[in-house]
Amino acid sequence: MKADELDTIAAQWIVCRENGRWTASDQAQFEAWLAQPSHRIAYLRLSDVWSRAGRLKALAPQRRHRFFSFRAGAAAAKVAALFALAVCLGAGGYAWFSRSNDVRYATGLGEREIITLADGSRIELNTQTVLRLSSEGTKRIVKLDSGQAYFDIRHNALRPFIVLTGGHRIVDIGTKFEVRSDVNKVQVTLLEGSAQFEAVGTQVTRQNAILLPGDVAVATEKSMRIVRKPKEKLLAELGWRHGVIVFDHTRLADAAAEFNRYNRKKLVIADPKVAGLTIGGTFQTTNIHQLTQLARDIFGLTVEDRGQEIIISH
Amino acid sequence: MVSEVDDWFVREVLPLETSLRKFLRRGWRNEADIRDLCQDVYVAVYEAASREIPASARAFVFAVARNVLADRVRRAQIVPIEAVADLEELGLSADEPGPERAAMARQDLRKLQAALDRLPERWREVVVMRKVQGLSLAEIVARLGIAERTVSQHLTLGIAALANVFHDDPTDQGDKP
Repeated sequence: MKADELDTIAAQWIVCRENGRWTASDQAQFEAWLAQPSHRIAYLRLSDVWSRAGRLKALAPQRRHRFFSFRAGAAAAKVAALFALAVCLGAGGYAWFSRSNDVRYATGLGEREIITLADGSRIELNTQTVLRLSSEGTKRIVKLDSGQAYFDIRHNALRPFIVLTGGHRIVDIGTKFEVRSDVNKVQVTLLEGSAQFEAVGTQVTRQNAILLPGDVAVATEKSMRIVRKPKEKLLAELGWRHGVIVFDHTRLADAAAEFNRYNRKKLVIADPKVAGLTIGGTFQTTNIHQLTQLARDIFGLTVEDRGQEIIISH
Repeated sequence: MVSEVDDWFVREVLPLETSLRKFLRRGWRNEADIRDLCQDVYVAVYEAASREIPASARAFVFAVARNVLADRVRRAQIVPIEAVADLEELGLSADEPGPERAAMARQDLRKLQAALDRLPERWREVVVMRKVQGLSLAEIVARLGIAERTVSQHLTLGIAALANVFHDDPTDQGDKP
């Protein structure tokens, strides 16, 4: 199990112990959980910092004016707005997209498409993407059946914007974000604003996460992880919007897989040693020869064009 | 419930995390893996200490960290030039006595404050209410007027994040924002 998932569980135990309803059976379950060293360590580590944080109490009076009351007030207002939005979800109202539900958009290999909506929101589709627009009461609903799309959404509390993909839901709270839906995982990258990500799966520990700028959430059937990435990196990953892929210490195997998403002619890396070489730079998604040239000239590898495939080996 | 090993671990090993993260970052550039690598080091250290508590926590932790990194580099099949060079170079500094222990108490409050300031706002809000204002979960729910489940979730994520930012040196962010 990933350490951050473990941390979430350990933190849940801490919260449970403090909620005033701790029972003997909870205690027994908790002790059983603690029996495993990795669990115990995660718990010891979090509870150590958490108990230290009690010292902050000493600062309460001075900090209230300078920092706490102001910022927390703003945050409370935002949380209240968020809650209001959740209440709005059930309300009846206007249809948003055309009344004929499910307008379908699809892009082929190497294609991109931009959809501009009546309210100025934009949806950009990457290669091999199938997406359907529909509405349900006041809700604006996008079903991302497969592929990758970038969303720049005008927030409207009365018309929540929801992306459904692979059983997961992303509820926009005024946002620029990207969703990539692969066979067994869904990745949500948040650039601006915030959004709520509700993952569905059998063993998902963070079922319902609020994403903030820089968050990249990956949900599989078994787990959901959120990592934070620097903005430059996120923008590089969104290079496809301008027809480029940006590699930074990317394994040749991963780079080839990325190219293969856009091109009929497939790159095949024949040798695990070659697959592990790392490359960097900006490439046009459809210019496969940029990569093969680099493989030949810089790495001194053998590049063999077999028509349907290009084989790269030692 | 707290064993001798737990006590040793909290007292001697956890304060090393800031140095440990620095060490791991210089040998492994994928920031997303750092917490996992830390955990791998901790599990190995804890298990060894369950058999016999090492004489020097610091020397032992960094020896384990070197192995964990070397192992990860081997498995990842990346071109390991940078990682190997750094390991050699850092190997020398790993045994020097660290300033952590002495500075801990003095810096604790400042470090906690800084960590709190770096938490995302939603999580910080409930952490502050719980720890600075000393409100109970029920009181926080009443004050914010949001569901207990949401408060619990923010608190959960806040607790987990607080430990990470507390142990992180903000000047050593590698390729983080």
